[in-house]
Amino acid sequence: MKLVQKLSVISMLAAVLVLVAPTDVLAQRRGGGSFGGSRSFGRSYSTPSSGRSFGGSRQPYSSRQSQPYGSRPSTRPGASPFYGSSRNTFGGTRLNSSADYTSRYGIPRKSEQQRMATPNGTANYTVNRYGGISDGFMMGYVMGSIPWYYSMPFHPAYYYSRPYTTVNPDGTTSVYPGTFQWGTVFFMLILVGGGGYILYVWLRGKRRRALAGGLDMSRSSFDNM
Amino acid sequence: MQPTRLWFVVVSLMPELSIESNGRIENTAVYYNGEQLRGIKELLLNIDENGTFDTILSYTGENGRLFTKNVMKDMLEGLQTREPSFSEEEARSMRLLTISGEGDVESTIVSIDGNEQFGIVSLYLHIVAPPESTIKAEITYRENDGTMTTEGIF
Repeated sequence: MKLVQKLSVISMLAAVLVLVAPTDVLAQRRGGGSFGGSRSFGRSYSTPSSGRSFGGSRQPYSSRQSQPYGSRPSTRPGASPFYGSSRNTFGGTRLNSSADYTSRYGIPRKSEQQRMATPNGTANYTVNRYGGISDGFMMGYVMGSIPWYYSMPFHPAYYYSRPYTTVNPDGTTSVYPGTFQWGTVFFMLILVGGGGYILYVWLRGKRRRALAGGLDMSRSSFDNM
Repeated sequence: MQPTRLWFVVVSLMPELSIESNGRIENTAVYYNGEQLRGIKELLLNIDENGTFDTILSYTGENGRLFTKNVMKDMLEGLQTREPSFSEEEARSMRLLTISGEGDVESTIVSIDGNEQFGIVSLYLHIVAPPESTIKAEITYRENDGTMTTEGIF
Protein backbone atom coordinates (compact mmCIF):
# COMPACT_ATOMS: atom_id res chain seq x y z
CA MET A 1 0.00 0.00 0.00
CA LYS A 2 2.83 2.42 0.81
CA LEU A 3 4.41 1.78 -2.57
CA VAL A 4 1.17 2.70 -4.28
CA GLN A 5 0.99 5.88 -2.25
CA LYS A 6 4.57 6.79 -3.18
CA LEU A 7 3.92 6.15 -6.87
CA SER A 8 0.79 8.24 -6.67
CA VAL A 9 2.65 11.15 -5.13
CA ILE A 10 5.49 10.91 -7.65
CA SER A 11 3.05 10.78 -10.57
CA MET A 12 1.19 13.77 -9.27
CA LEU A 13 4.36 15.79 -8.78
CA ALA A 14 5.45 14.94 -12.32
CA ALA A 15 2.08 15.99 -13.65
CA VAL A 16 2.20 19.25 -11.73
CA LEU A 17 5.69 19.91 -13.03
CA VAL A 18 4.58 19.39 -16.62
CA LEU A 19 1.47 21.46 -16.15
CA VAL A 20 3.10 24.42 -14.50
CA ALA A 21 6.13 24.42 -16.76
CA PRO A 22 6.00 27.77 -18.57
CA THR A 23 6.19 26.27 -22.03
CA ASP A 24 4.62 29.32 -23.64
CA VAL A 25 7.11 31.61 -21.98
CA LEU A 26 9.95 29.38 -23.01
CA ALA A 27 8.65 29.29 -26.53
CA GLN A 28 8.47 33.04 -26.62
CA ARG A 29 11.97 33.32 -25.30
CA ARG A 30 13.03 31.16 -28.15
CA GLY A 31 11.28 33.63 -30.37
CA GLY A 32 8.60 31.16 -31.31
CA GLY A 33 5.35 32.72 -30.18
CA SER A 34 3.44 34.61 -32.83
CA PHE A 35 0.79 35.60 -30.38
CA GLY A 36 3.12 37.31 -28.06
CA GLY A 37 6.84 36.92 -28.13
CA SER A 38 9.63 37.95 -30.34
CA ARG A 39 10.22 37.21 -33.93
CA SER A 40 13.57 37.38 -35.51
CA PHE A 41 12.89 36.87 -39.18
CA GLY A 42 10.22 36.07 -41.69
CA ARG A 43 7.05 37.75 -40.67
CA SER A 44 7.41 41.20 -39.36
CA TYR A 45 6.33 40.89 -35.75
CA SER A 46 8.67 41.78 -32.99
CA THR A 47 8.54 41.76 -29.25
CA PRO A 48 5.03 42.50 -28.09
CA SER A 49 4.40 45.41 -25.85
CA SER A 50 0.90 44.75 -24.62
CA GLY A 51 0.60 41.01 -24.34
CA ARG A 52 -2.33 40.90 -26.72
CA SER A 53 -2.55 38.10 -29.20
CA PHE A 54 -1.45 40.05 -32.15
CA GLY A 55 0.48 42.38 -29.97
CA GLY A 56 3.96 43.62 -30.32
CA SER A 57 5.47 45.94 -32.76
CA ARG A 58 5.41 45.38 -36.44
CA GLN A 59 8.04 46.42 -38.82
CA PRO A 60 6.98 48.83 -41.49
CA TYR A 61 5.34 47.23 -44.43
CA SER A 62 8.05 48.62 -46.64
CA SER A 63 10.62 46.50 -44.92
CA ARG A 64 8.67 43.44 -45.92
CA GLN A 65 8.56 44.68 -49.44
CA SER A 66 12.28 45.08 -49.39
CA GLN A 67 12.33 41.40 -50.04
CA PRO A 68 9.85 41.04 -52.86
CA TYR A 69 7.94 37.87 -53.08
CA GLY A 70 9.27 37.23 -56.52
CA SER A 71 12.82 37.49 -55.38
CA ARG A 72 12.62 34.57 -53.05
CA PRO A 73 14.91 31.81 -54.05
CA SER A 74 12.14 29.30 -53.92
CA THR A 75 8.47 29.15 -53.09
CA ARG A 76 8.30 25.55 -52.22
CA PRO A 77 7.35 24.87 -48.61
CA GLY A 78 10.29 24.95 -46.33
CA ALA A 79 12.48 26.83 -48.68
CA SER A 80 11.67 30.36 -47.66
CA PRO A 81 11.95 31.94 -44.28
CA PHE A 82 8.18 32.32 -44.33
CA TYR A 83 7.59 28.61 -44.73
CA GLY A 84 10.65 26.90 -43.50
CA SER A 85 10.50 27.58 -39.84
CA SER A 86 9.34 24.86 -37.55
CA ARG A 87 9.15 27.15 -34.60
CA ASN A 88 6.00 27.37 -32.56
CA THR A 89 3.21 29.80 -33.06
CA PHE A 90 0.41 30.52 -30.61
CA GLY A 91 2.24 28.22 -28.29
CA GLY A 92 1.39 25.42 -30.68
CA THR A 93 2.96 24.13 -33.84
CA ARG A 94 3.49 26.51 -36.67
CA LEU A 95 2.39 25.12 -39.95
CA ASN A 96 4.59 25.08 -42.96
CA SER A 97 1.57 25.55 -45.15
CA SER A 98 -2.18 25.41 -45.00
CA ALA A 99 -2.01 21.94 -46.46
CA ASP A 100 -0.45 20.71 -43.25
CA TYR A 101 -3.69 21.47 -41.50
CA THR A 102 -6.25 20.79 -44.22
CA SER A 103 -4.73 17.45 -45.08
CA ARG A 104 -5.42 16.34 -41.57
CA TYR A 105 -8.63 18.13 -40.66
CA GLY A 106 -10.18 18.72 -44.06
CA ILE A 107 -11.34 21.75 -45.91
CA PRO A 108 -12.64 24.49 -43.65
CA ARG A 109 -16.36 25.09 -43.69
CA LYS A 110 -15.85 28.75 -44.01
CA SER A 111 -12.89 30.99 -44.72
CA GLU A 112 -13.10 34.71 -44.41
CA GLN A 113 -10.66 37.50 -44.85
CA GLN A 114 -10.39 39.77 -41.88
CA ARG A 115 -8.40 42.86 -41.36
CA MET A 116 -7.39 43.08 -37.77
CA ALA A 117 -6.16 46.06 -35.90
CA THR A 118 -2.94 45.61 -34.03
CA PRO A 119 -1.20 48.09 -31.81
CA ASN A 120 1.02 48.98 -34.72
CA GLY A 121 -1.36 48.93 -37.58
CA THR A 122 -3.53 46.41 -39.29
CA ALA A 123 -2.93 42.98 -40.68
CA ASN A 124 -4.80 40.74 -43.05
CA TYR A 125 -5.84 37.37 -41.81
CA THR A 126 -7.65 34.48 -43.37
CA VAL A 127 -9.69 32.95 -40.61
CA ASN A 128 -10.66 29.37 -41.30
CA ARG A 129 -13.63 27.99 -39.44
CA TYR A 130 -14.49 24.36 -38.97
CA GLY A 131 -17.60 24.81 -36.90
CA GLY A 132 -16.27 23.30 -33.71
CA ILE A 133 -15.90 24.67 -30.26
CA SER A 134 -12.34 25.68 -30.95
CA ASP A 135 -13.58 28.20 -33.54
CA GLY A 136 -14.70 30.36 -30.67
CA PHE A 137 -11.44 29.96 -28.85
CA MET A 138 -9.56 30.78 -32.06
CA MET A 139 -11.42 34.03 -32.47
CA GLY A 140 -10.69 34.89 -28.89
CA TYR A 141 -7.00 34.49 -29.52
CA VAL A 142 -7.11 36.25 -32.87
CA MET A 143 -8.99 39.21 -31.48
CA GLY A 144 -6.45 39.46 -28.74
CA SER A 145 -9.02 38.66 -26.14
CA ILE A 146 -7.67 35.85 -24.04
CA PRO A 147 -9.71 35.52 -20.88
CA TRP A 148 -7.95 34.33 -17.80
CA TYR A 149 -10.18 31.28 -17.59
CA TYR A 150 -8.79 29.97 -20.87
CA SER A 151 -5.85 28.88 -18.73
CA MET A 152 -8.00 27.19 -16.14
CA PRO A 153 -8.54 23.42 -16.26
CA PHE A 154 -12.28 23.80 -15.76
CA HIS A 155 -12.61 25.63 -19.08
CA PRO A 156 -12.66 23.67 -22.34
CA ALA A 157 -10.21 26.09 -23.95
CA TYR A 158 -7.57 24.75 -21.59
CA TYR A 159 -7.69 21.44 -23.44
CA TYR A 160 -7.24 22.97 -26.87
CA SER A 161 -4.03 24.20 -28.39
CA ARG A 162 -3.68 27.77 -29.48
CA PRO A 163 -4.65 28.47 -33.08
CA TYR A 164 -2.33 27.42 -35.85
CA THR A 165 -1.03 29.96 -38.30
CA THR A 166 0.73 29.95 -41.56
CA VAL A 167 1.87 32.74 -43.80
CA ASN A 168 0.42 32.65 -47.27
CA PRO A 169 2.37 33.59 -50.36
CA ASP A 170 0.29 36.76 -50.67
CA GLY A 171 1.46 37.95 -47.30
CA THR A 172 -1.70 37.23 -45.37
CA THR A 173 -1.76 34.90 -42.45
CA SER A 174 -4.08 31.93 -42.34
CA VAL A 175 -5.39 31.04 -38.94
CA TYR A 176 -6.73 27.60 -38.13
CA PRO A 177 -8.53 26.50 -34.95
CA GLY A 178 -6.58 24.86 -32.18
CA THR A 179 -6.80 21.13 -31.73
CA PHE A 180 -7.79 19.02 -28.80
CA GLN A 181 -4.82 18.13 -26.61
CA TRP A 182 -5.07 14.61 -25.26
CA GLY A 183 -1.80 15.03 -23.40
CA THR A 184 -3.26 17.83 -21.34
CA VAL A 185 -6.29 15.71 -20.53
CA PHE A 186 -4.05 12.82 -19.56
CA PHE A 187 -1.97 14.90 -17.20
CA MET A 188 -5.04 16.50 -15.71
CA LEU A 189 -6.47 13.05 -15.04
CA ILE A 190 -3.23 12.05 -13.31
CA LEU A 191 -3.26 15.25 -11.33
CA VAL A 192 -6.89 15.03 -10.30
CA GLY A 193 -6.68 11.28 -9.73
CA GLY A 194 -3.51 11.58 -7.66
CA GLY A 195 -4.94 14.43 -5.65
CA GLY A 196 -8.17 12.55 -5.15
CA TYR A 197 -6.33 9.45 -4.03
CA ILE A 198 -4.24 11.38 -1.52
CA LEU A 199 -7.39 13.06 -0.24
CA TYR A 200 -9.09 9.68 0.02
CA VAL A 201 -6.20 8.15 1.97
CA TRP A 202 -6.11 11.15 4.27
CA LEU A 203 -9.85 11.08 4.90
CA ARG A 204 -9.80 7.33 5.42
CA GLY A 205 -6.99 7.65 7.96
CA LYS A 206 -8.81 10.47 9.68
CA ARG A 207 -12.02 8.46 9.81
CA ARG A 208 -10.22 5.41 11.17
CA ARG A 209 -8.50 7.47 13.84
CA ALA A 210 -11.85 8.95 14.76
CA LEU A 211 -13.45 5.51 14.95
CA ALA A 212 -10.59 4.25 17.09
CA GLY A 213 -11.10 7.10 19.52
CA GLY A 214 -7.87 8.75 18.45
CA LEU A 215 -5.86 5.57 18.86
CA ASP A 216 -3.19 4.66 16.35
CA MET A 217 -4.25 1.16 15.31
CA SER A 218 -1.69 0.83 12.57
CA ARG A 219 0.29 -1.78 14.49
CA SER A 220 -2.56 -3.64 16.07
CA SER A 221 -4.17 -6.78 14.72
CA PHE A 222 -7.52 -5.31 15.70
CA ASP A 223 -7.56 -2.74 12.94
CA ASN A 224 -10.93 -3.83 11.59
CA MET A 225 -13.06 -0.69 11.59
CA MET B 1 -3.85 -65.65 5.13
CA GLN B 2 -3.58 -63.18 7.91
CA PRO B 3 -4.80 -59.81 6.66
CA THR B 4 -2.15 -57.22 6.65
CA ARG B 5 -2.72 -54.62 9.28
CA LEU B 6 -2.06 -51.18 7.94
CA TRP B 7 -0.73 -48.52 10.16
CA PHE B 8 -1.51 -45.06 9.28
CA VAL B 9 0.57 -42.31 10.66
CA VAL B 10 -1.57 -39.28 11.03
CA VAL B 11 0.37 -36.12 11.31
CA SER B 12 -1.71 -33.56 13.04
CA LEU B 13 -0.71 -29.97 12.73
CA MET B 14 -1.96 -28.32 15.84
CA PRO B 15 -2.92 -24.71 15.29
CA GLU B 16 -1.15 -22.22 17.48
CA LEU B 17 -2.70 -18.95 18.48
CA SER B 18 -0.73 -16.26 20.25
CA ILE B 19 -1.81 -12.93 21.61
CA GLU B 20 0.82 -10.34 22.44
CA SER B 21 -0.25 -7.24 24.28
CA ASN B 22 0.47 -4.76 27.02
CA GLY B 23 -3.20 -4.43 27.80
CA ARG B 24 -3.91 -1.70 25.26
CA ILE B 25 -5.88 -2.48 22.16
CA GLU B 26 -3.56 -0.45 19.93
CA ASN B 27 -0.65 -2.53 21.17
CA THR B 28 -2.20 -5.93 20.69
CA ALA B 29 -1.04 -8.35 18.06
CA VAL B 30 -2.52 -11.74 17.27
CA TYR B 31 -0.40 -14.43 15.64
CA TYR B 32 -1.77 -17.54 14.00
CA ASN B 33 0.84 -20.19 13.37
CA GLY B 34 3.52 -17.56 13.70
CA GLU B 35 2.08 -14.96 11.35
CA GLN B 36 0.72 -11.70 12.61
CA LEU B 37 -2.87 -11.16 11.63
CA ARG B 38 -4.71 -8.03 10.68
CA GLY B 39 -8.31 -7.14 10.12
CA ILE B 40 -9.51 -8.79 13.33
CA LYS B 41 -12.82 -7.59 14.61
CA GLU B 42 -13.23 -9.74 17.68
CA LEU B 43 -11.48 -12.56 19.50
CA LEU B 44 -13.12 -14.60 22.22
CA LEU B 45 -11.43 -17.41 24.14
CA ASN B 46 -13.49 -19.05 26.82
CA ILE B 47 -12.00 -22.32 27.99
CA ASP B 48 -12.50 -24.10 31.27
CA GLU B 49 -11.72 -27.47 32.75
CA ASN B 50 -15.36 -28.55 32.58
CA GLY B 51 -15.17 -28.77 28.80
CA THR B 52 -16.17 -25.33 27.68
CA PHE B 53 -14.11 -24.57 24.62
CA ASP B 54 -15.03 -21.43 22.75
CA THR B 55 -12.32 -20.00 20.55
CA ILE B 56 -14.07 -17.58 18.24
CA LEU B 57 -12.28 -15.31 15.83
CA SER B 58 -14.16 -12.73 13.81
CA TYR B 59 -12.16 -11.12 11.05
CA THR B 60 -12.36 -9.48 7.69
CA GLY B 61 -10.93 -11.66 4.95
CA GLU B 62 -8.86 -10.64 1.97
CA ASN B 63 -12.01 -10.41 -0.11
CA GLY B 64 -13.54 -7.94 2.34
CA ARG B 65 -16.03 -10.44 3.73
CA LEU B 66 -16.50 -10.84 7.44
CA PHE B 67 -15.75 -14.33 8.73
CA THR B 68 -16.50 -15.83 12.13
CA LYS B 69 -14.60 -19.04 12.78
CA ASN B 70 -13.59 -21.39 15.54
CA VAL B 71 -9.94 -20.56 15.45
CA MET B 72 -8.70 -23.89 16.84
CA LYS B 73 -10.90 -26.11 14.71
CA ASP B 74 -11.93 -24.40 11.52
CA MET B 75 -10.01 -23.65 8.41
CA LEU B 76 -9.40 -19.91 8.48
CA GLU B 77 -9.92 -18.81 4.91
CA GLY B 78 -8.79 -15.50 3.55
CA LEU B 79 -6.89 -14.49 6.66
CA GLN B 80 -5.07 -11.22 6.30
CA THR B 81 -1.54 -11.17 7.59
CA ARG B 82 1.04 -8.47 7.96
CA GLU B 83 4.66 -7.96 8.83
CA PRO B 84 5.40 -8.12 12.56
CA SER B 85 4.67 -4.70 13.93
CA PHE B 86 6.47 -4.86 17.24
CA SER B 87 10.21 -5.08 17.68
CA GLU B 88 11.80 -7.54 20.05
CA GLU B 89 12.56 -4.72 22.44
CA GLU B 90 8.93 -3.65 22.43
CA ALA B 91 7.82 -7.24 22.81
CA ARG B 92 9.83 -7.54 26.01
CA SER B 93 7.50 -5.06 27.65
CA MET B 94 4.46 -7.05 26.55
CA ARG B 95 3.09 -10.43 27.50
CA LEU B 96 2.62 -13.26 25.10
CA LEU B 97 -0.20 -15.73 25.60
CA THR B 98 0.00 -18.84 23.44
CA ILE B 99 -2.60 -21.53 23.00
CA SER B 100 -2.05 -24.68 21.01
CA GLY B 101 -4.08 -27.83 20.75
CA GLU B 102 -6.54 -29.76 18.69
CA GLY B 103 -9.65 -27.94 19.67
CA ASP B 104 -10.45 -29.56 22.99
CA VAL B 105 -9.50 -28.98 26.59
CA GLU B 106 -7.55 -32.18 26.95
CA SER B 107 -5.02 -31.37 24.26
CA THR B 108 -4.74 -27.65 24.90
CA ILE B 109 -1.49 -26.22 26.13
CA VAL B 110 -1.39 -22.68 27.41
CA SER B 111 1.81 -20.80 27.88
CA ILE B 112 2.60 -17.28 28.94
CA ASP B 113 5.84 -15.75 27.76
CA GLY B 114 6.95 -19.21 26.76
CA ASN B 115 6.26 -20.77 30.15
CA GLU B 116 3.77 -23.61 30.07
CA GLN B 117 0.97 -23.13 32.55
CA PHE B 118 -0.47 -25.80 34.83
CA GLY B 119 -3.50 -25.97 37.07
CA ILE B 120 -5.67 -23.75 34.92
CA VAL B 121 -9.33 -23.77 35.86
CA SER B 122 -10.49 -21.33 33.24
CA LEU B 123 -9.21 -18.91 30.69
CA TYR B 124 -11.24 -15.99 29.47
CA LEU B 125 -10.07 -13.53 26.87
CA HIS B 126 -12.26 -11.12 24.96
CA ILE B 127 -10.86 -8.44 22.68
CA VAL B 128 -13.01 -6.29 20.43
CA ALA B 129 -11.71 -3.82 17.88
CA PRO B 130 -12.59 -0.12 18.09
CA PRO B 131 -14.86 1.64 18.52
CA GLU B 132 -15.82 -0.75 21.33
CA SER B 133 -12.17 -1.33 22.18
CA THR B 134 -12.79 -4.04 24.72
CA ILE B 135 -9.83 -5.94 26.08
CA LYS B 136 -10.37 -8.34 28.92
CA ALA B 137 -8.10 -11.26 29.68
CA GLU B 138 -7.91 -13.27 32.85
CA ILE B 139 -6.88 -16.71 33.88
CA THR B 140 -7.93 -18.68 36.96
CA TYR B 141 -5.58 -21.19 38.59
CA ARG B 142 -6.15 -23.79 41.23
CA GLU B 143 -3.44 -23.50 43.80
CA ASN B 144 -1.89 -26.42 45.60
CA ASP B 145 -4.05 -25.78 48.63
CA GLY B 146 -7.19 -25.93 46.48
CA THR B 147 -7.89 -22.24 46.45
CA MET B 148 -8.63 -20.35 43.23
CA THR B 149 -6.57 -17.44 42.04
CA THR B 150 -7.61 -15.21 39.19
CA GLU B 151 -4.99 -13.11 37.45
CA GLY B 152 -5.02 -10.70 34.59
CA ILE B 153 -2.97 -11.90 31.68
CA PHE B 154 -1.71 -8.69 30.20
